[in-house]
Amino acid sequence: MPGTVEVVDVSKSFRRSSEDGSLSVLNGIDLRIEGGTFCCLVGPSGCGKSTLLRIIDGLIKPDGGEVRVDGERVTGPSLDRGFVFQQFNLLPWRTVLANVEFGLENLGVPKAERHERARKVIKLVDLEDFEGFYPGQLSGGMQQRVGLARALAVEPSHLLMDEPFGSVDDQTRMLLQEELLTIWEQSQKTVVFVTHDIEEALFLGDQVVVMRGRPSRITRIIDVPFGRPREDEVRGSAELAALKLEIWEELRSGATVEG
Amino acid sequence: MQRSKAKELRTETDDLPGGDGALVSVDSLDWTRAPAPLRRSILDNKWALRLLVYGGILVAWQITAMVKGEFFLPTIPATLAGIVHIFTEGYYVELFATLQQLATGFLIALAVAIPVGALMGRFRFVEDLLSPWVNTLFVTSKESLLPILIIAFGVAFWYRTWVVIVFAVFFPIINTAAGVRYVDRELKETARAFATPPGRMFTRVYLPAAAPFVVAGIRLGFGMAMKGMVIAELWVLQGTGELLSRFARAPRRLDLYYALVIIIVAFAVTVTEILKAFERRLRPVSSTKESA
Repeated sequence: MPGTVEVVDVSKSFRRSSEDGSLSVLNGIDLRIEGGTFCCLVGPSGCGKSTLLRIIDGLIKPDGGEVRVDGERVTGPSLDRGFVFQQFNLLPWRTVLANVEFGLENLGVPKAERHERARKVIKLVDLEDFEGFYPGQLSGGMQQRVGLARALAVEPSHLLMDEPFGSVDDQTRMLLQEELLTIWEQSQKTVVFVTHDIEEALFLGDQVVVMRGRPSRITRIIDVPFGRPREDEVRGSAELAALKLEIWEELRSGATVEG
Repeated sequence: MQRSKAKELRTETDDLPGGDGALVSVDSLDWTRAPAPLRRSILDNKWALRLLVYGGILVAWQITAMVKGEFFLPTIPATLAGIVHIFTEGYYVELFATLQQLATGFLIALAVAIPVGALMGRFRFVEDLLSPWVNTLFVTSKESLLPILIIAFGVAFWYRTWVVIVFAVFFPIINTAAGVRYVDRELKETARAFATPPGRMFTRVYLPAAAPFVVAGIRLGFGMAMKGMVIAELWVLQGTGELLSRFARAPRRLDLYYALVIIIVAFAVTVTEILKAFERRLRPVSSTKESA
């Protein structure tokens, strides 16, 4: 199936500003995400999961190893991968419509078609009454819908999401999760979703990748047993609770080792 | 909605002592204090106060003019008539020529300043290369460069245009550079994630994000351009500068002198106010809604 992501022996260090030497964040990461999979990366903050996501997108170059998408080496960002940011990162001087059109402009889509395609995704995220609004006039949840629409508008085969629902309140988060699943189930894109919320990862993902340590390693990959389309009841199921506990114990044992 | 609210707040601050639309920090106002007893004082009414003070100045002007005579100060009616004379007696031709040099010089200054400033803000090596020059010339008295410009360009159109450029160019460079330098890292990363080509980064991200800075720089640069325009011509006694000088010498025509000064100042204030309004419009729209 197209859309396969392969992370091969990726490592990354950051230079420390104050002292000599560097901080190794990722070391020898190997991961294969099959096309059309919803893959969630979980781990404590600072474990390098957002860095790994940016390496997959091409925003950050790895020090060693490489990422291949459909067998092709990633050398930089591409509009075949849509990115959704934790802090939404909308352009504050553009309306909702113009924000959603941003990627389409870079693709060179003519104006009329741009409007049409942007309006279609804006409708998909339920914001058709707000296309003339500016980001500052919208709530956090609405802004993130715009962020999602902007990523979807370019019709990428991958969606890379960096803790996208980490800055909104609980109820909005659950609603957005459900909407994301509805949209994803219709499109079958490959999704790489970074979160520190174990429950969110289990509710959304086909595959949950657990990362911990410094430099970070992948310590577990869990195949989520819940079917598709995913029922709301999954949230309250004993199976989810058991898996959550399992992942938590995994992460906690890492935390104590790190001190 | 937010617009009107901000407006309300602004008008409120207008009425504060020393207000006049100045940005008064909301935090510094003691909202909890009980309102002062309703004593309708003229000091509470901005317009009445202005009428009183400005009217007083005008009355003092008129009386002084009547006492001292037109050799020292023209009366207000004479000055107003002078404004009409500037146009009916053909002096406006010089003024228009001067404004043409101003416009040419100022547009050239902007065409240089905004790209240069943007490159300085974006690329460290451009900043390193140019900032010593920009900073040195910025603090240099531009008047001291006039003899060199006269040697290089004579005293006609290009000399005067160059003076305007030299006066006007630095504020927009410095402001654009600062605006571009402080564009949010997150916005830059977002634009990169959407595979924005380098050239479009400037037109779609850096300059729009820096727009309020850029326009403020244009506004400050315009003030300098006006200054340069008058000084250039006063130095070589040509054009409007020559008129100003001539009206002040024998046979004195102070009515025309004041009229010309008033026209120049009115023009400068009008353009500046338009740029200010533009600046306000460029501020990102926000609302009281929680955004995160």
